[in-house]
Amino acid sequence: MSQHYATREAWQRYISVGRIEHAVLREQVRRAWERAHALRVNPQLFHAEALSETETERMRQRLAPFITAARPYAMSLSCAAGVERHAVMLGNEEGVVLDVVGDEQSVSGPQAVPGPGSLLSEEMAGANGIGTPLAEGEYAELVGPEHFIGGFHPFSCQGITIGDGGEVVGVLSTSVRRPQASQRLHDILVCAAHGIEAELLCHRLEEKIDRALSARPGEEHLLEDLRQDIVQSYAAAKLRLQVAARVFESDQNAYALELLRAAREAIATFRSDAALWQDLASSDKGGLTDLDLLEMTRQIERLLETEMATQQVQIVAGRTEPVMVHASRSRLLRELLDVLLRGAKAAGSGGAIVVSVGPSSVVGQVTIQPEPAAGVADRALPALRLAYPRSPLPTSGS
Amino acid sequence: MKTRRAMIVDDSPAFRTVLASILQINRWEIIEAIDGLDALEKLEEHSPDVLIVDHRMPRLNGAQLYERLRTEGREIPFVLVSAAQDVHEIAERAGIEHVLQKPFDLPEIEQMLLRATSAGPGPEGENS
Repeated sequence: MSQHYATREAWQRYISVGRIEHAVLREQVRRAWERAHALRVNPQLFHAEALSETETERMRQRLAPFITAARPYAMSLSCAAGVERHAVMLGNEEGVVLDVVGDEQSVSGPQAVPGPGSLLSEEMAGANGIGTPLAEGEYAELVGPEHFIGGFHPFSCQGITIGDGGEVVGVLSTSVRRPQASQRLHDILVCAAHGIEAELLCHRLEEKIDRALSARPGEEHLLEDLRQDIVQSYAAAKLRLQVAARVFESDQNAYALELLRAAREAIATFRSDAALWQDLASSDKGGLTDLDLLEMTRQIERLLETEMATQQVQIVAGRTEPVMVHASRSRLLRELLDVLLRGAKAAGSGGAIVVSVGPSSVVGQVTIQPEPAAGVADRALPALRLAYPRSPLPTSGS
Repeated sequence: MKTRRAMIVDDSPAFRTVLASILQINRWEIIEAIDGLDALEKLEEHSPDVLIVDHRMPRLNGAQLYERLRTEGREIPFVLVSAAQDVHEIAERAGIEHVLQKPFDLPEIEQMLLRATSAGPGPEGENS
């Protein structure tokens, strides 16, 4: 018997006797059914409950920036689904549907998916492609009768949570008629959710720039230029994903997957660079912690790639060795940024800075040696140095 | 049908590559330049139908490239793209009509190219 029919029978037996057959259900589905059972959700519901039109509209207005950030990604997913009957749904952190895009039948036909305002938390609708990812805090898939309520059995749904600033703010979900179509959309769904998170982060960087500039006067241009350089990697990732969606539609899966992989990598780089930028822009001194000085130096060098290219100064790796130091992360990053920029200024256009990192007796040290372009200076420029106390070695046996 | 040619001027290889793939899907022929000066050199050999130009670049930025083209009286549709918050002000100061703020969506750049190429040349020479 196929998994589909076994699950369908398990659901029917649950309707009859109220007992969950653990052996038949996938682990994630079993947990979702147990939660729905404990919450006394009615499995024989045909439709999900919904907010009134006025309440829905008010909620959509309040969350308009989130809906707007997610829309292009939902459209890309819809584009990748091609001619399949499908809907892409965006839910908020409480499982309320905020936005739906897809083919006309799925969005507004007689057997449409739940529209904006529908309440799809597990408390209201049991296991489903929006409520279950929220309850599990991660990606979840529900195929046909794995949905707790009968009205959702025609659909194969998958959803993934969207985070912003360390909190779950919603779910992106796809709903299709064929399980194979759902599998095909998996990679692009995951990438789209990361893309929405990056879009939200991008907006936060824009909001923070004014605060950062007032906290760090004199660094206006630098911080704004660095922010632009960071956004550049996200901008390329966003377009890659949208191209991948088009290519998926035309069935060139290998190329589309390659584009998605590149988009995922660029989004990861964007996130790490954005975190770095926030440290640099912050006026917070931060507590002392153990840090890899070489890794911190590499991160700042990468962040400065475009700035250095604009100033036409090359960064050259000197002698480097990993060294752990005990310092404030934000202060160390700012000092590294400052010394690299001073080095670049000293070297001048067409010059280079040689960056060496390593331990001396009690400190970890970064040395920046500016080297002007050939024929510009007739004597060596002084090196710039930063030093931090080395981290204490772990006590043996501890 | 005549093949359309676009020159992408951006110091970010990732951005050039992805823009090129979008345009190639739409059957554009692509010429790439890594900054404003490189673009000027390549314009000696190529005659693109449109220039898609990043603003923040080494050696010669987007607005400076536009200014150089205008001074030389070269009329090529010009689209400025940038992640700068004040990109619209930069464009306005330079007299650039077509501008997009990064990050933008695929349909936005497609529509912008349509507008730029149907609207005619960008930089207007002193005598035009």
